[in-house]
Amino acid sequence: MLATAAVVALVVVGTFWGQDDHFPFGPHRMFSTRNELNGRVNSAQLSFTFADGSVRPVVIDSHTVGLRRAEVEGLEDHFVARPQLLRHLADTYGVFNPSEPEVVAVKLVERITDLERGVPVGRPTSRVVATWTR
Amino acid sequence: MDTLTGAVRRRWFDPLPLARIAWLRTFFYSFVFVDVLLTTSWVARHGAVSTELYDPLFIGRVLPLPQPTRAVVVLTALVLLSAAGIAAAGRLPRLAGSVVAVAYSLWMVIAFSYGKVDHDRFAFLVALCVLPTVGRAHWRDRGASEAAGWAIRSIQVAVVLAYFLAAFAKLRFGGLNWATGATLARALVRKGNWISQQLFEMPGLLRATQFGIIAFELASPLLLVRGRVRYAFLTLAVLFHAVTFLTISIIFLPHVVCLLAFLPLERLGRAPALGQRRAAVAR
Repeated sequence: MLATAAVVALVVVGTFWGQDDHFPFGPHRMFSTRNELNGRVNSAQLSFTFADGSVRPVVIDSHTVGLRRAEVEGLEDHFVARPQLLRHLADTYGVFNPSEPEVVAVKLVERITDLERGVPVGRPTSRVVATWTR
Repeated sequence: MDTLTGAVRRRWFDPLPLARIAWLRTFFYSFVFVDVLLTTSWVARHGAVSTELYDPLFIGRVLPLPQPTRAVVVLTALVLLSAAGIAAAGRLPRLAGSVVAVAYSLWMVIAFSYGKVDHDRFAFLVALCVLPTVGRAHWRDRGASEAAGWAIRSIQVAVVLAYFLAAFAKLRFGGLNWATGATLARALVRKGNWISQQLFEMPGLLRATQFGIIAFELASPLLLVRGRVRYAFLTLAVLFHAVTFLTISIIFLPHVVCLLAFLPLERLGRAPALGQRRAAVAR
């Protein structure tokens, strides 16, 4: 009975004062933030430069760089503060794709879609947030 | 106050069939395989990511947990799946079940220590923690026990809390205007498919849906009401998760699996009578 009460109390407290960090007692905040109807929507993109000189966008996914897009976005502050961390995404890509040429440079890009009254308008724009070269 | 806690205690510990525990174990521990190997197989790929990108959760910083190197990830998966296999078969329910609970928790630290925490697992973690406490239970068990009642209701309450508290999380992070914003539009831009492209044509519908979500979450305690109300709400919940999956390709699968705790699964052990008993209402 006490244990039950404690778990219920923790998750209620977590909802109002906790952060994601306090998993599993953090707030259930999936999609809880509000987006302005005339605001913008960001999403991260990666561009790799290979040893053969080709430059290609790479889908951010656990199958390509070992992390999901939302994770790369969650770690964005780390990548901005220490761009050399981008090297690890290139290394994991190399492990998963051994037949491809080596990745020699990584560019982390933020793609911005503008919304007008909740509907996307115009072409998305891009902004480079961090780069690393081997 | 005494009568209130007494009532809650009686309600929470009212005996439920042991057979339901046996079926829940089979479903939940089998689901661990689906979760680890199929639906969230990305967790295992964290083993291929440098530990320099490991940004541990609070629990990972407080407890002396190992850094998730490839070896640690593989070992955790092996222990987790072996114990889940034993527990799914109904063997060693306390020991194997406890190992699953601990190993799965470690798996969650590996999953959510790279910049993103998912919010679909609270009820499932509660389920893994309470299922071992009941002890032995067989699929054809005719008996009922207070331990089974407590465990099953704990899972049910966890499911309700996950919905109910999510409404308050929206209020806290999104503010009073969450329902009038562009949250769903954002999700559609980021995660959309061809169905969702049609939805941009109807921004009014998106906002109405946002109001609907809040109403649905606040009404979730209805799941604890016995009888028709529960089944009506359960149907609504399944529809909600199905539509979410079709439009933004997101499914809170571990949470959805926990909805099984509301079904009279003990009847599966009496299969021939299933058809005639369907009309009967579960407790």
